[in-house]
Amino acid sequence: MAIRDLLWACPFCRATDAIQARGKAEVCTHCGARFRRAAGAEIEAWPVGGQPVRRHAAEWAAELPPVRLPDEEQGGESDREYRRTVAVARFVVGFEPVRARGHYLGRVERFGPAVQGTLVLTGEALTFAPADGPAHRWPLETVTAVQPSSSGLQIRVRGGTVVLFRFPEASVRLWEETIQAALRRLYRSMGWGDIVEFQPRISIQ
Amino acid sequence: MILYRLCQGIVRAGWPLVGGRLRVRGTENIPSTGPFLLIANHQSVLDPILIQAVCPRVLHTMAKSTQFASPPMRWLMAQLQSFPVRRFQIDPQAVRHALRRLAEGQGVGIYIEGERSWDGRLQAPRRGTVRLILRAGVPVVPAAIAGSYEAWPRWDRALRRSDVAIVFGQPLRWPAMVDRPEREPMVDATASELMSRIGDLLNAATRLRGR
Repeated sequence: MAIRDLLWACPFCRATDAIQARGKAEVCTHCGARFRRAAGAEIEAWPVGGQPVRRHAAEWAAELPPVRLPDEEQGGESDREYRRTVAVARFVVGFEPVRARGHYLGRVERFGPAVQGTLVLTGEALTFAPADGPAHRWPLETVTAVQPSSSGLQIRVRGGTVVLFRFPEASVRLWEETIQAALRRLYRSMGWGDIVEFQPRISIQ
Repeated sequence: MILYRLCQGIVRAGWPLVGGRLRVRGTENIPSTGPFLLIANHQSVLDPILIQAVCPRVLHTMAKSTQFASPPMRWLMAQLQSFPVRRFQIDPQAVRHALRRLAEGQGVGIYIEGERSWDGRLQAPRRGTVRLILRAGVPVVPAAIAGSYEAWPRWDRALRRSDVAIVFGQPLRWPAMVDRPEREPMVDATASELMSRIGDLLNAATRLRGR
């Protein structure tokens, strides 16, 4: 994880998903502001031509604009592309039992190999197109859970498929919130109700 | 259990060297005997380590299943009395395990937000945990940890020095509700009361830590 996972928009120029790692700091590729962790959970920022600003992470995060789907104001087309990024996907290929002192504790996921590709979110589906091989397309109504993990974002799809996505160039939190916003819009438009929880499974009020 | 107690000692002795001061209040609120649920906020990967280190009773802590991925971690987590929960689906085995430990008169620890906070603030509770509380009907010890976010927030990979405070609140109690139709109408009110209490404790822990 990185500062861009928390600050998915630059607090100075508001550019979305523009903060990228550059050496020991992270830099907004749009306005050039630099960010790095200071003491504790403080983040120090150097806007171009301005004075450095040091604030607690929660204060920076409170300034982020709400995640809005690109065509939210217009009422837009459902197949419009909301977001696209390079992603590394790992599919759960099985489960292994966990035992301790002869007692069965539960099961743990076994992940398959990492596959690089492109992840695209539209108003209708989430699609992962590997560099080699056929694309995986999951209509949004088949997504049953969305949650960030230590290293990325996990989704579960009806039928049992679980996929972990890592984002080399994008903010995990932005993807989490955008997928959740797309699901909220879908559920509302279908008259299924308001989503109150995205994990362990999507549940509605 | 020897390893569990050994790890408690190592963490209590080692935290001041790598982290900072560790201030604890309210350990008298942990029941000395019998089952209890310890319900805490979740700011950092350090939370279970530090809370287990200072809790006077052994805690069987619910942990995400991926923590058990490698055989060495699987062994260590089991020695530390943790048990796995799959977070992207309802996991009846994790619920069964928690209820079994409570039926044996032991303590179970759950981080009610289900994941670490991005910005250190309290998040919404997981309704499944609230249902478990209502089903179990055992004393619920609310707890809060402050300062672990400053030591190791989820958006960074490095541990930094930070004082940490942990406050255990007085036990709350709801009657056991085995039937779902009886339990379900109580979920929202129970969640609200519990999170309000954890919020108060988080404020107390923040003051205790000193900012």
